[in-house]
Amino acid sequence: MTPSILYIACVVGAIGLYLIMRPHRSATRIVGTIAGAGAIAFIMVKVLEGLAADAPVPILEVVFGLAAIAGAARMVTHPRPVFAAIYFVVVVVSSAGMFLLMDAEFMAFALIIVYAGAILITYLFVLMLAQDATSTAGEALYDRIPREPLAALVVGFVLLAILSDAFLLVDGGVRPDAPGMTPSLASVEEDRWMVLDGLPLQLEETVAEILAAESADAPAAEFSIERIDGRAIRFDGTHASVDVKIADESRNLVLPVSAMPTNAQLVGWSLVATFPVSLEVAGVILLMAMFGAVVLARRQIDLGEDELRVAAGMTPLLEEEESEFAGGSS
Amino acid sequence: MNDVAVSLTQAGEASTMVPITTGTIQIVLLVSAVMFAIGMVGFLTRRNMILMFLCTELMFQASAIAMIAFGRMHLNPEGQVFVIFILTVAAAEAALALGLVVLLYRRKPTLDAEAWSELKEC
Repeated sequence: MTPSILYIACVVGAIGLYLIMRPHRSATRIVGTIAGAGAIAFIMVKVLEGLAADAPVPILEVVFGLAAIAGAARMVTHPRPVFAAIYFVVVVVSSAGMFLLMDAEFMAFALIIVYAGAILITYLFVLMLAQDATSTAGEALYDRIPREPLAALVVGFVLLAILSDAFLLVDGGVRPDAPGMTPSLASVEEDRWMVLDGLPLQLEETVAEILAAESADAPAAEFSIERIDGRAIRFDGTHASVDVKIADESRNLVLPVSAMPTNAQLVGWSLVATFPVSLEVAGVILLMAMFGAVVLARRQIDLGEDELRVAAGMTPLLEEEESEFAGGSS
Repeated sequence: MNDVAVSLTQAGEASTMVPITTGTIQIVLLVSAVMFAIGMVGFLTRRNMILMFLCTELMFQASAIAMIAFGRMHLNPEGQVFVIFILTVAAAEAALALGLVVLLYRRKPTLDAEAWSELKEC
């Protein structure tokens, strides 16, 4: 794929999105959908063509990606705000599917819970709260007519052309199989065993399971894990092993691959061991957002002069009946 | 107990240790770029204040996909940790932005962002 083909596809996609944005014309909307979907599909086919002949085709990624893009396009163009929010759920669910395909199970479910469960509900709540009660029949005018669509499309799709150029074309695109792009599997494996090394309880449980499986009939023996320089696990490039002392007798146990920490454990470890300060800052951000939202959305009450005196703990100057004339309204 | 040993030793290689294929990462990065562009177009063209903020959530989503993809490519959990921070910022932004929208809606009973265009000073 040459850059000019990619740029032409971006322009076609932009035209498609522009046609979808036009209000009140179902015919142009269909043409726009075809143009946009065709442009995306064309780029994807070109990407897949450029792969090696025996490379597996990422069908599920393509399906989830197309669903996410379709949901995003409809969300941006739908004249009814509530429907737009619901199309965003489509985007969230399909990107959670892509997270699952990329072995990020924890983030996939966190995304669905936090986005589709919490943030989207907040948006829907405010939409219902602020929707014009008078316009029950249809869409508000300002939701139907886009603001400066041409300028926005130029900006957005120049950005898209640059990004996809960088991802797909420059230096052959992002290629994990190129030498030096990704770390060696042995070093990654060592990092993960070192995480297990930092989880002493789990390490003990694993060793106890292995020992119990070895001698099913005998009662579980007392053991202690030996640490040299504070490290229990030794990794020789293919196998990780632990020195265990059972009844004054030292043994070397090879740990099975399945004892390696899971993805969620790695994320948690990275969160508390590598980024503890960021974690604290994130907590402070959430706290300040809560304060800010309370301060912003609180209903402001105008107090009269006399009521301010009462609020400050002083006695009011006016009698009850007089205060009605003195303008201290609440 | 023997079953435990079998499951421990025969579980095979962990799936995360397989390098990601070029096709997967390129498709996923392309999807993330397109989603970011669409979110940006939406932010610029929608007039409804709430939907403008929803479009920023779309851009957050796109960058989260790219981070997960690059984290998967380098077999490194830090991409996912950054997505956790993105989720935090998105939640904080949603709370603040919606509080602001409610405040503005009380001043002028419309969600149209043009109603506040005098803030541009031009």
